[in-house]
Amino acid sequence: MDNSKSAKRIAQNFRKLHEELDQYVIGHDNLKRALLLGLVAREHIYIEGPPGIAKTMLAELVSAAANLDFYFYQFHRDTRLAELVGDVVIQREKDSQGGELIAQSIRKGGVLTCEVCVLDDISRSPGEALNVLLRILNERQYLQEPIPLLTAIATSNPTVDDYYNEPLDPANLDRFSIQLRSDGLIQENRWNQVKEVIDLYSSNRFSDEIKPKPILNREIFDEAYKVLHSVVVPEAVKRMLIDLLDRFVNQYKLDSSNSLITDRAFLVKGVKMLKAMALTDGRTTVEPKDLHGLAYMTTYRVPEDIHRNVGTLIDESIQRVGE
Amino acid sequence: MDFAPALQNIRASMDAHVIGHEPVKEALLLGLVAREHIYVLGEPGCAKTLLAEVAANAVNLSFYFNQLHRDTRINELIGDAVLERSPMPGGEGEVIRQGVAPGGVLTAEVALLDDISRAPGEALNVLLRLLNERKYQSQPIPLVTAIATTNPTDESYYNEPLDPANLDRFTLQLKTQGSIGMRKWDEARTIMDRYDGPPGSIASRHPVSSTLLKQAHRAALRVELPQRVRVAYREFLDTLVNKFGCDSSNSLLTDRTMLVKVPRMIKTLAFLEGRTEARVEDLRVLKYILTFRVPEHVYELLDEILQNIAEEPEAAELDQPGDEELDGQQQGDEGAQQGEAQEQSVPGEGEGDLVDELMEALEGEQGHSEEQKPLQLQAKAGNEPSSRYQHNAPQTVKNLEVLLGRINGRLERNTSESHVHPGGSPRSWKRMQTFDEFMDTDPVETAIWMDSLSPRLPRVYRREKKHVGGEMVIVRDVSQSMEGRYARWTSSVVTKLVELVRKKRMRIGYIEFNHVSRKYTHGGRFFTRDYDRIIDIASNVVCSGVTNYQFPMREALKEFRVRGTNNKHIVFLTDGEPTQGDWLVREERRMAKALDVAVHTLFIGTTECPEILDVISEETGGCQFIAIPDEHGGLYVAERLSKQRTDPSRRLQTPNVLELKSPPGTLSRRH
Repeated sequence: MDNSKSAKRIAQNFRKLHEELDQYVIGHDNLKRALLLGLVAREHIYIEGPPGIAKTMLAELVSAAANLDFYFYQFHRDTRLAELVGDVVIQREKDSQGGELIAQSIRKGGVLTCEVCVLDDISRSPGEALNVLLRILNERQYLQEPIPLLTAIATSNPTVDDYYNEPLDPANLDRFSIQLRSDGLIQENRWNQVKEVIDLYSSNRFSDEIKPKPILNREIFDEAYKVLHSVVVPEAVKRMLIDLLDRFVNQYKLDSSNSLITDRAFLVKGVKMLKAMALTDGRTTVEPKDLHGLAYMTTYRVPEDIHRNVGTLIDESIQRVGE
Repeated sequence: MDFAPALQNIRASMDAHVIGHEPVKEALLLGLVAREHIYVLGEPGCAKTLLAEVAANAVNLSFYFNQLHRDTRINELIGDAVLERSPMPGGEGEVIRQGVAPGGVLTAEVALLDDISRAPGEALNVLLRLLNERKYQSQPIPLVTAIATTNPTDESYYNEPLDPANLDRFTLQLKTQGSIGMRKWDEARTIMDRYDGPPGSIASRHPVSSTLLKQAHRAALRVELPQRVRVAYREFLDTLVNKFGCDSSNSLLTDRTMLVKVPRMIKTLAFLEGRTEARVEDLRVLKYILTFRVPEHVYELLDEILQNIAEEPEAAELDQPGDEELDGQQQGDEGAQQGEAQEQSVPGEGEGDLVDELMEALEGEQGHSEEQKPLQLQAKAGNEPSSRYQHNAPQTVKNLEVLLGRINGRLERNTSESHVHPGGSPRSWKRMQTFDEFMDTDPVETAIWMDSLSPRLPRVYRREKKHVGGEMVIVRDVSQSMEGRYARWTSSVVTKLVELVRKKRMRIGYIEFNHVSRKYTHGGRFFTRDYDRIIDIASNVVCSGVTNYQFPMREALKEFRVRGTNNKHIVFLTDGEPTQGDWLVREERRMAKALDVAVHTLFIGTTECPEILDVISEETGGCQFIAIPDEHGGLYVAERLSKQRTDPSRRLQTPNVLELKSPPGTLSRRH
């Protein structure tokens, strides 16, 4: 009973956060939804899209409005690990034979001390820094010490030569549970939203810097995470999920050569996504419609034509098991 | 507050030193007031650098000039590299950081970057990042405007074009020419008179202060942008995207620039003209913004498009009388764009066929030659202004990047080799060889090394870059079934492919086939970097005959036999099964494997994809794609799953089983 009350309150808070984002960014509802789900479920998010479509802006806005300790890093070709995790420290000691002992360590900063981090243009840094970073993101600890990070939001341009980047390999991509592809409003022919953006930014409301109101705080996220674990996934929904995965594998022949259907992604994180979908809707029980949250996970895990139809596939699974 | 005298002052300084070049002068003023970067392309000696210098001197801002060259190092642009060492607060040891002592672009308010495209990639990357973010290591920099000039890209100037993503950093973009080039002989005479004496100083007597410029910037943002102007601008964007097929592969219309910055630029232009409310005419500021953001032929029509929109903003989408059939069709469909979307999303149905007939009738009337340059020719032929660019607009093809992305990905995983290159990415470590590499050292080792100098230099990054280049042959089906809509789609696909290949600087070959194959060569050479010629050929096809896969494959593979590189690709575009020859192209598949050529297949249409295409791609390590009509009347390219995967009943059908079922092959007899 207590849980369902706090679920309602949590959902209300997240609705407020969504509305705050709407103040500055028109459209991109998918992106906004995904950002909120990521924060609730404490999963990392990967957003890919051409330059200038408000990816970075949304990531920054959501962190500011959520009032979390925030770290922004712009990746570049020469990104060094030290820039991401703090400063390098060396300690020297003379030993008895007159030699010198030099120890190297890190003074924590950056990703190691923040609650939300925005990793902008992550695919521009193909070097070793990225590998270490992704390992930290995955394990959520550094040198056996847990880090306070809730969610890492990575953005990237599509891999074309123009942008001096290289695609993340599938194993690295898998560390971002939530994956989205986004395009500009102009390119998507969304003329009503184009109008709204022009109107919004032609007005004199924003002159220089955009500063959203901090409306949430860490306690709400901690509470949400606690409640999230008590969200109930009914047997029927589990069967629907299994049915969907079954059809992925047996009907559409998805395997390791063309997809990334890992147990971790779909059986552990997938279920977490369902719960997050329910919780942001103010419920403590998952409903079949929450399965549509899986569409935020399939973007780069299944071939594109399957991903484009994943909504229909989910509906089919809901129907098949429902009968 | 009246800004007119101050702005007039800047203007007067420019006029005093440079004759003509009104667009450049206006753009410089726009850039300074709007605080946006400017990119000027022009041949040497057309006063672009002089103008930029004069403008920078006319405002009292700190100024930085750099003539970029092929050996420009990043530290020349941003300041000297330093290694910071500080005691660890409250602990033992020492904190070590790498940084720069800020200088150059980091401390200037106006930066003039002359010949920007000559800078080597590694310096340019950092520079452009700075311009974009206006921050260095999270610290804001005081830069107001960067003015970059460049010569036209030509092998003789030792430069490379900036790529579009980088160009987006420069909101204002211009192309300029000298007075002689523009045949402005009056101006030329004045220039001769003006410089017939000792050179004068370009320092301004009454420079405009930076505070005033900042106030002007705020005032410009307060200009009203009335609804009518917003509507007109939206119409304009709609026209670019839906009538001229401007999309992410050929244009750079980002939401940030087009939706956020352009309205501000419109305001700034109105402000410069002393108004507090923008008018539709102020959309002409787009001339300084779209120069390199839309394809050239669209840019040439910009004046006309803007004029049409200014005249009748609401009606610009509606068709004009002049062609009865088309008129009728569009009335039924509420507007050309939606109409097209509906027709093309239901190919094969009665409605679609009718439209096809109409389109073909239209093309017949206008003569075949118009296909090649539809926009210019129509502009001359039309009677009503707004009917000029209605019909032959290029089809949009979305998501083709996925195709080149995959091909690219394959190169990097399998065949492409890295080589050491100063512009590459840091991949591993090596010993420092010269002090030029100091920025790339491992800071800790450097700190230790500096305490006890030794001949053994600290480690630096080994930078590596993948080889680009290689060859691609586009093999295109021009059989009877490709006539009409399919031909137009395929032409668009080829155009986009060529444009993408152009960016990779790959050589390209082009083959068309039906029951025979036709190879295009130029001066006896098949592989070429003359991308425009291939686009011309590909947009001008006649479709007839039946389909034979064998000949074109063989022709393409023959060309690859004499190429030594690793990076060999065929992109095979078709809409149907082979109807002649060995429909399993067994011999050609074997050749492709032996030559290590990846054959990528792109099936166009909504019917079932022939299984043999899957087999060809899978065997040769190529990728498989399908292009399907989308709801906007264009094409959407997606990766295709092979039938053996998607259809369980065919799971056991290996290529070998297929071969047994085949009709007696023609090839085996020849051998």
